[in-house]
Amino acid sequence: MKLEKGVISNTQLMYFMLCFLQCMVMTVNFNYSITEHDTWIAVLVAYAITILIVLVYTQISQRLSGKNLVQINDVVFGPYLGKVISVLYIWFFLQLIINYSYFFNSFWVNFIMPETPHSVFIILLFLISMMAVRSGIEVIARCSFIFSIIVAAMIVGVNALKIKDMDISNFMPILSTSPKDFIQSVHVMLTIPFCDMVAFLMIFPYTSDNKKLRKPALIALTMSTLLLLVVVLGNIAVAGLRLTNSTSASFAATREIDIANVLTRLDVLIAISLLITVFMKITVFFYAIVLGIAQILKLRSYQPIVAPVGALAVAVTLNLYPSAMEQAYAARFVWPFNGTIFEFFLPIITLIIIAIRKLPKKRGIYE
Amino acid sequence: MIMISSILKKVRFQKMMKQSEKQDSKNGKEDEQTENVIKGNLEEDIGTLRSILGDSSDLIIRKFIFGKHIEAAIIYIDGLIDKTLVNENIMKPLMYINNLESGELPKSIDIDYVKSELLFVGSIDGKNSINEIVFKIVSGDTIFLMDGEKEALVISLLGWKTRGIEEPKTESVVRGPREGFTETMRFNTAMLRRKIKNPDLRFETLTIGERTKTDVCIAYIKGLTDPKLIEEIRQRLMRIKTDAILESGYIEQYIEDSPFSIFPTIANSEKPDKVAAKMLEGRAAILVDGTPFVLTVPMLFIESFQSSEDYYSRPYFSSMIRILRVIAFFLSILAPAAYVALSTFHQELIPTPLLLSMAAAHEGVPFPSAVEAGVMLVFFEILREAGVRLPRPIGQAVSIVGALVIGESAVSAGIIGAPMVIVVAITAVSSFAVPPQTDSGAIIRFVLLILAGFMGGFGIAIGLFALFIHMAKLRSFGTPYLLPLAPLDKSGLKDTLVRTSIWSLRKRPLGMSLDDIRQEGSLKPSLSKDDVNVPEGN
Repeated sequence: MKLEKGVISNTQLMYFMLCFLQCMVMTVNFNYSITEHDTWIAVLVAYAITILIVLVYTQISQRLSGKNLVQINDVVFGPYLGKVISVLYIWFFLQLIINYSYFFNSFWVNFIMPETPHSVFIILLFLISMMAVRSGIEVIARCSFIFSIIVAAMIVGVNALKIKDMDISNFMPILSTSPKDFIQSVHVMLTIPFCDMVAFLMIFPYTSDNKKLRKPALIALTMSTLLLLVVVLGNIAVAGLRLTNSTSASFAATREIDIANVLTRLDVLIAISLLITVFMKITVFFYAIVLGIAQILKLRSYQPIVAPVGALAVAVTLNLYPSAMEQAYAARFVWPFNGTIFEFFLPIITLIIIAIRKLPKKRGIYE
Repeated sequence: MIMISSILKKVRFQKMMKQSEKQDSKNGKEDEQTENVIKGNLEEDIGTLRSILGDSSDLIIRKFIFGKHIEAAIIYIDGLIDKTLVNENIMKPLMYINNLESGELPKSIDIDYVKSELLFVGSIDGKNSINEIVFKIVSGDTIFLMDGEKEALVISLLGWKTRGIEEPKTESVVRGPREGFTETMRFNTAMLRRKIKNPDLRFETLTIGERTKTDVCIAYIKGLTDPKLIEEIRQRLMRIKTDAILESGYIEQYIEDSPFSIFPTIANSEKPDKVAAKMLEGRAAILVDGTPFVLTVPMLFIESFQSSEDYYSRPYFSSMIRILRVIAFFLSILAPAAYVALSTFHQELIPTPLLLSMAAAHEGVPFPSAVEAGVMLVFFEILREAGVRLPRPIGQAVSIVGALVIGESAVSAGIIGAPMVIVVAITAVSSFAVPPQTDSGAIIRFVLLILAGFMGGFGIAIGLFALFIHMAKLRSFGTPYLLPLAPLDKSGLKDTLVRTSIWSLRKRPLGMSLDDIRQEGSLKPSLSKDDVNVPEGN
């Protein structure tokens, strides 16, 4: 019995992860109010730490090759504790989904179409996401190449147009934030955009070469961090300390572009790249959830639970926070601690147990 | 919605399976019962054939006697055979020996002797099953029956009136061969054979259609096309149990991968050079007797933007044209939707002077932009349909009335804004730049327009997303529809948006062809060893 029959190549995995990670150029907004114009240093520090975490994820998946997160938990923690941890992970992915979709929704409602009912955006987003999840991992991965290229082109293009508004003095004074704030910012950055890659533990086993995951993962991480740096440096250079005033710095900075009265108000490009990247995030988590549930309940196919999970996520998203400000607060002070458990502690414990128990043992024991 | 449609699909599929099983068992029984053979009595055999073929006025049965006493008959359908050839090559030699009476002839002439010594015909074959003989008669072969022989000769002297080889009307070119396929399959296979002079070029003929018995031919290059693809095509063709195949479009709809998709997953062409090029890339072609449109599978989406001429002209210009085609495709599906979204939801994106003039033009127009665009697009589709079907002179009158009278007067009467007329005109023109996707484009255009009317840019983005996911899901005979782009194929990208030089296209575009490499090594044009350049200053 195999729930997912599709196989993606490792190159596809790279674009897949890249497209997934590109969402960080949007969520980095949570950091501007903490580290202000020093955010770019926080990006570099977070990147360095994430490399280690990614090595942990890929090592887990390579040691227990061909097994997804739920199966790994079963093998490592035993069938009972493993199931509990798997359920917790699914709960965690559900939280990620509803938070990302709320983030996306509040952006569209606040900036682009204030008079449209909230539910319209979320329902449509989830409909296409459900369509993608039902089509399977191959189709999602196929979409990711073009999506990642489109987003990268938009980001680089928009930032190139910002050059004439940039002022290098906006970076001064460097390292003026207190160490406590700096650590908080790095923590937020690690848990929100970088390390929710943990969901890829559900996808790694469906690659054509299970033993060579490190390279695509690290390339994707590096490329997305470069894009993030372009955006962060561009935004700081354009807006300076005004960054903290807006809930979306990229959006505000892009609004200022005015090329000969023709290329004005390119902020819709930011909105579209947000749509693409959040779509990718949601689809990956969605896929991880339905596949995980199907695995735990020993279903023959994950198709029947796609629609109920989607409906649940839509319903929760609509009532998640009273306003976008609450979400920004939660992202800064609550979420990092929630994320730390699932993104750092559990994977590291898993890897340690794998090392101690010298897994994988002979075939057939836990299968 | 998705769930319901998938359930419906399953139910339909199961019904189809059951029906086809029933049909299979029926056909088996019929064959056993009606197994008839030639008896050897001329009158009786002719009677049997006449009872099957009826009193059709075009059935000719010519009885005669040769060799003084041997009764014989030839049977054919008038109009399907070449009468001169029948007279010259069958009647004349047989009648001639009747008068000759030299001692050279054996005393008893049997049918093998007639076959091997008397008839001046290349294609000749002995048959004794009545069913087969009847089928041969209606296919245009001439039947020779001889009294006392339990075998009939099937003589192929086809000769019906056909259209000559002309330049295809749907795909005219500036540069390149101007011949097009015709309605006769044998001419079409010959045209392919002349392009690809290779013993590996194979034609496999099947007969489909209970009543029409249409010849359908799978053409491929052995050793290049994946045998699994050929087997898949053969299986799908053999599954067709219908009474009539009149055009390759019938076949297309019976064998395509996703019958509910708006995108075609089987390509068609009227040009032998194009079909030959596709076969040389590892595809298979399906020729159907009676139509000049030849199908090729598998089809990639990007094929819609490729034309045979791209490869005949130099790379820069053909790349530019190809990019233009892609732009035209996106314009044709997006222009009205984008206009509606911009003018209704995102006015801030339009530069102020343009916005002012647009607002001025829309002043006094009674309908919202979405309704305006919808009406104009429907009107355009009607005009197009009317113009295509009507006889040419009337068609022109229709387009003049439609374009000038209605378009112009609607604007001056203030019912439709002038910018909308421009947008619809742009859409109309660009929709013809990519002929294979014209049909799907028209549907996408309306859907996107509705989405844009409700939700502006967000609606368009969601529509394009859904479209893209759908296309990423499509497969054409096992090959992903968006192949060079999704999944990514780096060598295929050389012939996607841009067409790089022909000597650099070293790999075949489909991953499925057996022999992936088209040419070995670098074939970049360069000077041979002797420098032919005349030194300057001499």
